Amino acid sequence: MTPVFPLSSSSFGDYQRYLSMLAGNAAYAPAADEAVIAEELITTNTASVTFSDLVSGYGDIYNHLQIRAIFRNSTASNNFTDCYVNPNSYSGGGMRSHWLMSDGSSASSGQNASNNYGRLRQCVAKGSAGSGQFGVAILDIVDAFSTSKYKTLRSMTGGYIDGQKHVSLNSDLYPSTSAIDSLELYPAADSFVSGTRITLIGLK
Amino acid sequence: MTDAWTPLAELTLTTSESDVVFSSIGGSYRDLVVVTNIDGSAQTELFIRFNGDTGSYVSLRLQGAGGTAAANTHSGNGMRLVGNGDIKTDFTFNSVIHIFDYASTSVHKHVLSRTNSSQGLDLCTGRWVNTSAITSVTLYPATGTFETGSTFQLWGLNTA
Repeated sequence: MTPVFPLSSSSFGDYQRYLSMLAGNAAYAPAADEAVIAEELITTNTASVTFSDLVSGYGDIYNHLQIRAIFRNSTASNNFTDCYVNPNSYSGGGMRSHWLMSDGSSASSGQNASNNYGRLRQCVAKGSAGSGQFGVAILDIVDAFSTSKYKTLRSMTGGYIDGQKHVSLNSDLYPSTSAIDSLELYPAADSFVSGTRITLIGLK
Repeated sequence: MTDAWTPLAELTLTTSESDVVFSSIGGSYRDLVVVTNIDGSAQTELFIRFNGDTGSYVSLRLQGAGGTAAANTHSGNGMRLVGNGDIKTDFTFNSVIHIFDYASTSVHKHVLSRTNSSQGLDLCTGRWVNTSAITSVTLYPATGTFETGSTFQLWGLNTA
Protein backbone atom coordinates (compact mmCIF):
# COMPACT_ATOMS: atom_id res chain seq x y z
CA MET A 1 0.00 0.00 0.00
CA THR A 2 1.30 3.44 -0.86
CA PRO A 3 2.12 5.37 2.33
CA VAL A 4 0.03 8.41 2.92
CA PHE A 5 2.89 10.43 4.43
CA PRO A 6 6.18 8.75 3.57
CA LEU A 7 8.68 9.24 6.37
CA SER A 8 11.33 9.50 3.69
CA SER A 9 9.61 12.36 1.97
CA SER A 10 11.77 15.36 1.28
CA SER A 11 9.32 17.44 -0.58
CA PHE A 12 5.68 18.23 -0.47
CA GLY A 13 5.31 16.49 -3.78
CA ASP A 14 5.89 13.08 -2.18
CA TYR A 15 2.57 13.14 -0.41
CA GLN A 16 -0.12 10.90 -1.82
CA ARG A 17 -3.42 12.61 -2.33
CA TYR A 18 -6.49 10.62 -1.37
CA LEU A 19 -10.04 11.66 -2.04
CA SER A 20 -11.33 9.05 0.39
CA MET A 21 -10.93 9.32 4.14
CA LEU A 22 -10.03 5.63 4.06
CA ALA A 23 -6.65 6.71 2.64
CA GLY A 24 -6.00 3.46 0.89
CA ASN A 25 -7.20 1.27 3.73
CA ALA A 26 -10.00 -1.21 3.40
CA ALA A 27 -13.25 -0.01 4.85
CA TYR A 28 -13.94 -1.28 8.36
CA ALA A 29 -16.81 -3.72 8.25
CA PRO A 30 -18.17 -4.58 11.69
CA ALA A 31 -19.09 -8.21 12.16
CA ALA A 32 -22.73 -8.97 11.60
CA ASP A 33 -24.88 -9.45 14.67
CA GLU A 34 -25.59 -12.97 13.45
CA ALA A 35 -23.38 -14.65 10.88
CA VAL A 36 -23.01 -18.04 9.29
CA ILE A 37 -19.64 -19.26 10.58
CA ALA A 38 -19.52 -22.56 8.75
CA GLU A 39 -21.65 -24.96 6.82
CA GLU A 40 -21.12 -28.67 6.19
CA LEU A 41 -22.91 -30.21 3.24
CA ILE A 42 -22.48 -33.98 3.44
CA THR A 43 -22.04 -35.70 0.08
CA THR A 44 -20.52 -39.04 1.15
CA ASN A 45 -20.94 -41.12 4.29
CA THR A 46 -19.34 -39.18 7.13
CA ALA A 47 -18.90 -40.46 10.67
CA SER A 48 -18.79 -37.05 12.33
CA VAL A 49 -18.55 -33.32 11.72
CA THR A 50 -16.33 -31.12 13.88
CA PHE A 51 -16.23 -27.35 14.07
CA SER A 52 -12.93 -26.35 15.65
CA ASP A 53 -10.84 -23.32 16.66
CA LEU A 54 -14.00 -21.49 17.61
CA VAL A 55 -12.44 -19.44 20.42
CA SER A 56 -9.62 -17.99 18.37
CA GLY A 57 -11.87 -17.43 15.38
CA TYR A 58 -15.03 -16.14 16.97
CA GLY A 59 -14.69 -15.88 20.74
CA ASP A 60 -14.11 -12.15 20.65
CA ILE A 61 -16.94 -11.53 18.22
CA TYR A 62 -19.87 -13.66 19.29
CA ASN A 63 -21.47 -14.70 22.55
CA HIS A 64 -23.75 -17.50 21.45
CA LEU A 65 -23.73 -20.32 18.92
CA GLN A 66 -26.53 -21.92 16.98
CA ILE A 67 -26.65 -25.12 14.94
CA ARG A 68 -29.33 -25.62 12.30
CA ALA A 69 -29.34 -28.99 10.59
CA ILE A 70 -31.12 -31.69 8.68
CA PHE A 71 -29.94 -35.24 9.34
CA ARG A 72 -30.04 -38.68 7.85
CA ASN A 73 -27.75 -41.64 8.55
CA SER A 74 -26.81 -44.92 6.99
CA THR A 75 -28.61 -47.17 9.44
CA ALA A 76 -31.46 -49.35 8.28
CA SER A 77 -32.88 -50.33 11.64
CA ASN A 78 -34.09 -47.62 14.00
CA ASN A 79 -36.43 -45.07 12.50
CA PHE A 80 -34.64 -42.25 14.27
CA THR A 81 -31.39 -42.06 16.18
CA ASP A 82 -29.94 -39.27 18.29
CA CYS A 83 -27.33 -36.87 17.05
CA TYR A 84 -24.69 -36.54 19.75
CA VAL A 85 -22.96 -33.23 20.41
CA ASN A 86 -19.54 -33.38 22.05
CA PRO A 87 -18.00 -30.04 23.08
CA ASN A 88 -14.24 -29.71 23.47
CA SER A 89 -13.74 -33.49 23.09
CA TYR A 90 -15.24 -33.82 26.56
CA SER A 91 -14.74 -37.19 28.22
CA GLY A 92 -15.58 -36.43 31.84
CA GLY A 93 -18.84 -38.37 31.83
CA GLY A 94 -20.81 -35.58 33.47
CA MET A 95 -23.13 -34.31 30.80
CA ARG A 96 -26.79 -34.48 31.75
CA SER A 97 -29.81 -34.42 29.47
CA HIS A 98 -33.48 -33.60 29.96
CA TRP A 99 -36.20 -33.73 27.37
CA LEU A 100 -39.90 -33.24 26.71
CA MET A 101 -41.04 -35.25 23.72
CA SER A 102 -43.74 -36.93 21.76
CA ASP A 103 -43.87 -39.81 19.34
CA GLY A 104 -47.40 -38.95 18.32
CA SER A 105 -49.28 -41.01 20.85
CA SER A 106 -48.57 -39.06 24.02
CA ALA A 107 -46.30 -36.50 25.63
CA SER A 108 -43.52 -37.64 27.91
CA SER A 109 -40.34 -36.44 29.56
CA GLY A 110 -37.10 -38.01 30.64
CA GLN A 111 -33.52 -37.51 31.62
CA ASN A 112 -30.20 -39.25 31.71
CA ALA A 113 -26.75 -38.45 32.98
CA SER A 114 -23.14 -39.53 32.91
CA ASN A 115 -22.68 -38.91 29.22
CA ASN A 116 -19.82 -37.45 27.25
CA TYR A 117 -22.22 -35.75 24.89
CA GLY A 118 -25.39 -33.76 24.60
CA ARG A 119 -28.29 -35.33 22.75
CA LEU A 120 -30.24 -33.95 19.86
CA ARG A 121 -32.91 -36.52 20.38
CA GLN A 122 -34.26 -38.69 17.61
CA CYS A 123 -33.57 -36.30 14.77
CA VAL A 124 -31.42 -38.46 12.50
CA ALA A 125 -33.65 -40.24 10.02
CA LYS A 126 -32.75 -43.78 9.02
CA GLY A 127 -31.12 -44.32 5.68
CA SER A 128 -33.74 -46.82 4.66
CA ALA A 129 -36.52 -44.25 4.97
CA GLY A 130 -38.23 -43.11 1.82
CA SER A 131 -36.27 -40.79 -0.42
CA GLY A 132 -36.08 -37.18 0.64
CA GLN A 133 -37.00 -37.73 4.29
CA PHE A 134 -34.81 -36.28 7.03
CA GLY A 135 -34.87 -35.24 10.64
CA VAL A 136 -34.26 -31.64 11.67
CA ALA A 137 -32.79 -29.80 14.64
CA ILE A 138 -32.01 -26.34 15.96
CA LEU A 139 -29.50 -26.12 18.81
CA ASP A 140 -28.64 -22.99 20.80
CA ILE A 141 -25.64 -22.68 23.09
CA VAL A 142 -25.94 -19.57 25.22
CA ASP A 143 -22.75 -17.83 26.34
CA ALA A 144 -20.70 -20.46 24.54
CA PHE A 145 -17.44 -18.63 25.07
CA SER A 146 -17.88 -17.79 28.75
CA THR A 147 -15.07 -18.96 31.00
CA SER A 148 -17.07 -18.59 34.20
CA LYS A 149 -20.27 -20.52 33.47
CA TYR A 150 -21.28 -24.09 32.82
CA LYS A 151 -22.85 -24.35 29.36
CA THR A 152 -26.41 -25.28 28.55
CA LEU A 153 -27.36 -26.72 25.19
CA ARG A 154 -31.00 -26.08 24.25
CA SER A 155 -32.47 -27.75 21.23
CA MET A 156 -35.66 -28.61 19.46
CA THR A 157 -35.73 -31.58 17.15
CA GLY A 158 -38.23 -33.31 14.94
CA GLY A 159 -38.89 -35.73 12.17
CA TYR A 160 -41.77 -37.47 10.44
CA ILE A 161 -40.67 -40.38 8.25
CA ASP A 162 -42.67 -43.24 6.81
CA GLY A 163 -45.38 -42.75 9.41
CA GLN A 164 -42.88 -42.69 12.30
CA LYS A 165 -42.57 -39.38 14.10
CA HIS A 166 -40.81 -37.57 16.88
CA VAL A 167 -40.65 -34.05 18.23
CA SER A 168 -38.81 -32.91 21.33
CA LEU A 169 -37.50 -30.02 23.35
CA ASN A 170 -34.13 -30.84 24.90
CA SER A 171 -31.69 -29.41 27.42
CA ASP A 172 -28.16 -30.63 28.05
CA LEU A 173 -25.66 -29.53 30.66
CA TYR A 174 -21.99 -29.34 29.77
CA PRO A 175 -20.42 -29.07 33.24
CA SER A 176 -17.41 -27.00 32.31
CA THR A 177 -16.46 -23.36 32.49
CA SER A 178 -14.17 -23.75 29.49
CA ALA A 179 -15.08 -21.75 26.45
CA ILE A 180 -16.38 -23.98 23.69
CA ASP A 181 -13.54 -24.30 21.22
CA SER A 182 -14.84 -27.26 19.28
CA LEU A 183 -18.12 -29.00 18.62
CA GLU A 184 -18.32 -32.51 17.25
CA LEU A 185 -21.63 -33.84 15.97
CA TYR A 186 -22.14 -37.50 15.13
CA PRO A 187 -25.05 -39.90 14.83
CA ALA A 188 -25.58 -42.43 17.61
CA ALA A 189 -25.30 -45.13 14.96
CA ASP A 190 -23.44 -45.40 11.70
CA SER A 191 -22.67 -42.33 9.57
CA PHE A 192 -24.30 -39.22 8.20
CA VAL A 193 -25.27 -39.68 4.56
CA SER A 194 -25.62 -37.41 1.57
CA GLY A 195 -28.10 -34.61 2.02
CA THR A 196 -27.23 -34.05 5.68
CA ARG A 197 -26.49 -30.38 6.25
CA ILE A 198 -25.15 -28.68 9.36
CA THR A 199 -24.89 -24.91 9.65
CA LEU A 200 -23.07 -23.12 12.47
CA ILE A 201 -24.14 -19.57 13.28
CA GLY A 202 -22.54 -17.05 15.64
CA LEU A 203 -24.74 -14.59 17.52
CA LYS A 204 -23.71 -11.47 19.40
CA MET B 1 -18.73 -12.09 7.67
CA THR B 2 -22.10 -11.26 6.29
CA ASP B 3 -25.37 -11.33 8.12
CA ALA B 4 -26.87 -14.72 8.71
CA TRP B 5 -30.34 -13.47 7.95
CA THR B 6 -31.87 -11.46 5.16
CA PRO B 7 -35.31 -9.92 5.65
CA LEU B 8 -37.29 -10.88 2.56
CA ALA B 9 -40.74 -9.50 3.27
CA GLU B 10 -42.80 -7.90 5.98
CA LEU B 11 -46.53 -7.39 5.98
CA THR B 12 -48.99 -5.75 8.37
CA LEU B 13 -52.59 -6.37 7.43
CA THR B 14 -54.77 -3.33 6.87
CA THR B 15 -57.85 -5.43 6.13
CA SER B 16 -59.01 -8.88 7.11
CA GLU B 17 -57.56 -11.62 4.93
CA SER B 18 -58.38 -15.28 4.52
CA ASP B 19 -54.73 -16.05 3.82
CA VAL B 20 -51.29 -14.48 3.41
CA VAL B 21 -48.99 -15.51 0.57
CA PHE B 22 -45.27 -14.88 0.19
CA SER B 23 -44.60 -15.47 -3.47
CA SER B 24 -41.71 -15.37 -5.95
CA ILE B 25 -39.26 -16.53 -3.29
CA GLY B 26 -35.80 -16.88 -4.81
CA GLY B 27 -33.67 -19.92 -4.20
CA SER B 28 -30.50 -18.30 -2.96
CA TYR B 29 -30.95 -18.99 0.75
CA ARG B 30 -30.53 -22.12 2.84
CA ASP B 31 -33.57 -21.93 5.13
CA LEU B 32 -36.64 -19.78 5.49
CA VAL B 33 -38.16 -18.52 8.71
CA VAL B 34 -41.65 -17.09 9.05
CA VAL B 35 -42.46 -14.98 12.11
CA THR B 36 -46.03 -13.97 12.87
CA ASN B 37 -48.17 -12.16 15.38
CA ILE B 38 -51.79 -12.87 14.55
CA ASP B 39 -55.22 -11.74 15.58
CA GLY B 40 -57.95 -14.04 14.28
CA SER B 41 -61.64 -13.55 13.69
CA ALA B 42 -62.19 -16.76 15.63
CA GLN B 43 -60.26 -19.24 17.75
CA THR B 44 -58.72 -21.59 15.22
CA GLU B 45 -55.61 -23.42 14.00
CA LEU B 46 -52.83 -22.13 11.77
CA PHE B 47 -51.96 -23.99 8.58
CA ILE B 48 -49.14 -23.59 6.10
CA ARG B 49 -48.95 -24.64 2.47
CA PHE B 50 -46.12 -24.46 -0.09
CA ASN B 51 -46.32 -23.51 -3.75
CA GLY B 52 -50.10 -23.57 -3.41
CA ASP B 53 -49.90 -27.34 -3.38
CA THR B 54 -52.85 -29.22 -1.92
CA GLY B 55 -51.03 -32.55 -1.98
CA SER B 56 -49.73 -34.33 1.09
CA TYR B 57 -48.56 -32.78 4.35
CA VAL B 58 -47.94 -34.50 7.70
CA SER B 59 -47.27 -32.96 11.09
CA LEU B 60 -46.84 -33.82 14.75
CA ARG B 61 -47.34 -31.46 17.64
CA LEU B 62 -46.27 -31.52 21.25
CA GLN B 63 -48.73 -29.25 22.92
CA GLY B 64 -49.58 -27.86 26.27
CA ALA B 65 -52.56 -26.03 27.72
CA GLY B 66 -54.13 -25.76 31.12
CA GLY B 67 -51.54 -27.92 32.85
CA THR B 68 -51.81 -30.81 30.43
CA ALA B 69 -49.24 -31.93 27.86
CA ALA B 70 -50.38 -33.99 24.90
CA ALA B 71 -49.53 -35.01 21.35
CA ASN B 72 -51.47 -34.60 18.17
CA THR B 73 -50.86 -35.59 14.57
CA HIS B 74 -52.38 -34.42 11.32
CA SER B 75 -52.19 -35.28 7.66
CA GLY B 76 -53.98 -33.49 4.89
CA ASN B 77 -53.74 -30.96 2.12
CA GLY B 78 -52.07 -28.37 4.35
CA MET B 79 -49.67 -28.59 7.28
CA ARG B 80 -51.32 -28.00 10.62
CA LEU B 81 -48.93 -26.23 12.97
CA VAL B 82 -51.13 -25.82 16.01
CA GLY B 83 -52.70 -28.21 18.48
CA ASN B 84 -53.54 -26.31 21.65
CA GLY B 85 -51.99 -22.88 21.18
CA ASP B 86 -54.67 -21.76 18.81
CA ILE B 87 -54.95 -18.44 17.05
CA LYS B 88 -57.07 -16.28 19.29
CA THR B 89 -58.97 -13.04 18.91
CA ASP B 90 -56.65 -11.17 21.23
CA PHE B 91 -53.38 -10.75 19.27
CA THR B 92 -51.59 -13.20 21.56
CA PHE B 93 -50.78 -15.74 18.86
CA ASN B 94 -47.10 -15.78 17.92
CA SER B 95 -45.24 -18.24 15.77
CA VAL B 96 -41.71 -18.88 14.52
CA ILE B 97 -41.75 -21.34 11.64
CA HIS B 98 -38.46 -22.79 10.40
CA ILE B 99 -38.44 -24.28 6.90
CA PHE B 100 -35.31 -26.31 6.15
CA ASP B 101 -33.53 -26.56 2.79
CA TYR B 102 -36.50 -24.97 1.09
CA ALA B 103 -34.71 -24.59 -2.26
CA SER B 104 -33.55 -28.20 -2.50
CA THR B 105 -35.04 -30.32 -5.23
CA SER B 106 -33.98 -33.61 -3.67
CA VAL B 107 -35.38 -33.53 -0.14
CA HIS B 108 -38.89 -33.21 1.19
CA LYS B 109 -39.49 -29.94 2.98
CA HIS B 110 -39.24 -30.19 6.73
CA VAL B 111 -40.62 -27.73 9.25
CA LEU B 112 -39.98 -27.03 12.92
CA SER B 113 -42.20 -24.44 14.55
CA ARG B 114 -43.08 -23.13 17.93
CA THR B 115 -46.27 -21.26 18.55
CA ASN B 116 -48.01 -19.82 21.54
CA SER B 117 -51.08 -17.82 22.46
CA SER B 118 -53.27 -17.17 25.46
CA GLN B 119 -54.74 -20.59 24.69
CA GLY B 120 -51.54 -22.64 25.03
CA LEU B 121 -48.36 -23.55 23.19
CA ASP B 122 -47.11 -26.01 20.61
CA LEU B 123 -43.85 -27.44 19.30
CA CYS B 124 -44.46 -28.86 15.85
CA THR B 125 -42.56 -30.81 13.24
CA GLY B 126 -43.95 -31.39 9.78
CA ARG B 127 -43.09 -32.50 6.29
CA TRP B 128 -44.36 -31.50 2.89
CA VAL B 129 -44.21 -34.73 0.92
CA ASN B 130 -42.66 -33.08 -2.08
CA THR B 131 -39.14 -32.39 -3.36
CA SER B 132 -40.00 -29.23 -5.28
CA ALA B 133 -38.18 -26.06 -4.36
CA ILE B 134 -40.45 -23.75 -2.39
CA THR B 135 -41.25 -20.56 -4.25
CA SER B 136 -44.30 -19.51 -2.28
CA VAL B 137 -45.53 -19.88 1.27
CA THR B 138 -49.21 -19.58 2.18
CA LEU B 139 -50.45 -19.15 5.73
CA TYR B 140 -54.13 -19.56 6.48
CA PRO B 141 -56.44 -20.09 9.43
CA ALA B 142 -58.61 -23.20 9.55
CA THR B 143 -61.64 -20.98 9.86
CA GLY B 144 -62.27 -17.26 9.63
CA THR B 145 -59.69 -14.64 8.75
CA PHE B 146 -56.51 -12.96 9.88
CA GLU B 147 -57.51 -9.59 11.26
CA THR B 148 -56.21 -6.07 10.71
CA GLY B 149 -52.91 -5.44 12.45
CA SER B 150 -51.65 -9.01 12.16
CA THR B 151 -47.99 -9.06 11.16
CA PHE B 152 -46.03 -11.52 9.02
CA GLN B 153 -42.31 -11.57 8.30
CA LEU B 154 -40.26 -13.78 6.02
CA TRP B 155 -36.51 -14.22 6.52
CA GLY B 156 -33.89 -16.08 4.54
CA LEU B 157 -30.86 -17.80 6.10
CA ASN B 158 -27.83 -17.02 3.99
CA THR B 159 -25.45 -19.74 2.91
CA ALA B 160 -21.85 -19.78 4.12
